[in-house]
Amino acid sequence: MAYITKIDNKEFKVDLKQEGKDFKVYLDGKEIKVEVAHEQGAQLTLIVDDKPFNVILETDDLIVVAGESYNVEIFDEQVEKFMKASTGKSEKRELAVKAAMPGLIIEVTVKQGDRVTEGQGLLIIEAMKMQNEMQTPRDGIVKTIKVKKGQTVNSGETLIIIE
Amino acid sequence: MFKKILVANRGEIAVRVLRACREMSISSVTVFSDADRTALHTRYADEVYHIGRAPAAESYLKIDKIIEVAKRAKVEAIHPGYGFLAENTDFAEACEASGIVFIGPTSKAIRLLGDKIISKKTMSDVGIPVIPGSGGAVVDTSEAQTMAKQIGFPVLIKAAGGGGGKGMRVVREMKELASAMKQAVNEAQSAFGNPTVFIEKFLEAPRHIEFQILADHHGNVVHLFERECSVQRRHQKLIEESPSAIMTPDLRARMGQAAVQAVKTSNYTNAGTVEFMVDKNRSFYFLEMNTRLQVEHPVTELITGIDIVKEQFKIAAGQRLSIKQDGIRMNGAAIECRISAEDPENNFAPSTGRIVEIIEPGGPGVRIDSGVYEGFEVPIYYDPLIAKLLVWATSRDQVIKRAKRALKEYSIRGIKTSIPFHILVMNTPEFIKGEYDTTFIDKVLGKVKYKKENHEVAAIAAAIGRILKEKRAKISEAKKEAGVNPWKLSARQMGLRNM
Repeated sequence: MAYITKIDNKEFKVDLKQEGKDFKVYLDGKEIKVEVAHEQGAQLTLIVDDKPFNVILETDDLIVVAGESYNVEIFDEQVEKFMKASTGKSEKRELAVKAAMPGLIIEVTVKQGDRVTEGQGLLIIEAMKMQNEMQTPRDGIVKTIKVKKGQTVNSGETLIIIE
Repeated sequence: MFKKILVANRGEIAVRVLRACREMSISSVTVFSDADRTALHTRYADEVYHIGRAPAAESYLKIDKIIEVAKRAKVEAIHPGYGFLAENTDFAEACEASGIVFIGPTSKAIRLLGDKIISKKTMSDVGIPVIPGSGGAVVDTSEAQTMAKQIGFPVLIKAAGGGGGKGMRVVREMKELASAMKQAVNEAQSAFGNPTVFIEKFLEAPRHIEFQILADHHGNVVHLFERECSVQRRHQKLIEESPSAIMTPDLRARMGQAAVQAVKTSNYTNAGTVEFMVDKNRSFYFLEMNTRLQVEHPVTELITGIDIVKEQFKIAAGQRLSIKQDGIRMNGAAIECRISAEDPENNFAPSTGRIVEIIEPGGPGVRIDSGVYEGFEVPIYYDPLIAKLLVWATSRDQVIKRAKRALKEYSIRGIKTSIPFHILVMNTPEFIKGEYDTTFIDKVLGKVKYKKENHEVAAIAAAIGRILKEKRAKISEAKKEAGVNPWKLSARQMGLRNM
């Protein structure tokens, strides 16, 4: 199987074949031996080129490697090719900014149609008696604002869609 | 000594105080809100009483309710922890009126030291250095000019009516003063409806250094050396250490003496902390006194071997301090990292929810004071501090290495925590060299990105995760069709895997 994974704006092509418990991996064409030493629920111990890594597959788009969190996007290479062909560029895909915590919307600081740059504040949520700014993880245009000032939101709820 | 104590708090500090009770064979009582029915402190105490709904104003801040519990449970004393009612004069008075010992200073001392202007004047009157300033309202520009000449530039014009940077101006030269005055007055008027401003010396890049003190009811006062708390974000301390990297024996002696004098002047009793600002020339200024047990008290416990909570109990019970100033020794170095339920990679956004797994560090020199456990749901109502990692070693150099090691071992899953922030600080050259001040986070860390080294492994793991997930989905689908108990099937698979 071949996948495209995107991490922090870096793109990797991961081609892998399962051989028993282990995997033969081609990372951007480079062969790497990966052993699955342990697998329990969301936790994996991977031995990559003889080095052990504790990996936690927290959610579909959050992976923890040796204590470091990575936001990951993963696509089937075939699907990605198709998307690129149809939209021109995969970067154009929509991104849902989700509530990082449950809380109360104090203020929405952008309007629909605003151009935003990575790290720019979108809105302010209050939780644990602290006001917190939610930021856009990448450049784009505010397509939809799904919440209003004064509204309570749950963790993971979509707040704003950036395209 | 007391036979029964009520701990009127929650989280790690409640557990910390309850532990001292248990070690001293004192029966313990605690209170809990709706959100804390399964909290660690609720599980730890000998007796527990429900006091109200989740918001603190309806539970942990309800003085009458807590006094009622204290009477019902027949406790002799109440330990307030920190936060909530710890520095509330009404609460201390309510305890005094009910004949219950408040484990802390008298309500009178709390009132005196709680007022920043009065406490500053009290200290200044006995010769303790305070930040030079007008002390009262500055009416017009000519008065401001006289004042500024007296205290020396740079000066800070500050609104009397409030904070948050509004009505605040740093002035570095006389020619800037008049217009800055006008702007500050206008801003203060529009922000707080009060144009009153005062002027004080502006300290450039100060360090925040505090002294732990203990004072009994027989006039004995000792200090337990300093803690440096300059790693702060929005005036919230994140990392504390002792000794301070800039401390010299002479400065320590002078600051310690000032701290003891501050305590004696205010007739303060029990444990407390005298906070100072220290400027680039190592001149120190009294800032305020914290009339409670501090979050960072274990740093001092690690370097002195003195259990501050137990000392609080003994002092409150009327005992004399058994320790003398010249018998207190400083041994090695200690650091505290505050572990909070916040995402440091996302502007410290609170991260509440269920803790799926905790792996705590261990080995030499590691202490964890925690208020949570695996499976606990971190509530949205209270402070995000969930635990404190404390490390001790023989020197500052060694303790930083040990902190780094322990932080790498520490894993809390299900919520985001400040652990990556602490790892970043322990790897930052300015911190390692001890060359940092209260501007550290803004000036040094503001530009630093969280360094990550395992992108490639993450990419591989994502792909492997996808394959494993698809495989699991297929298996569970097959099981459903076959009508087999999935637990049984899983057990069989595990059995096979272990062969």
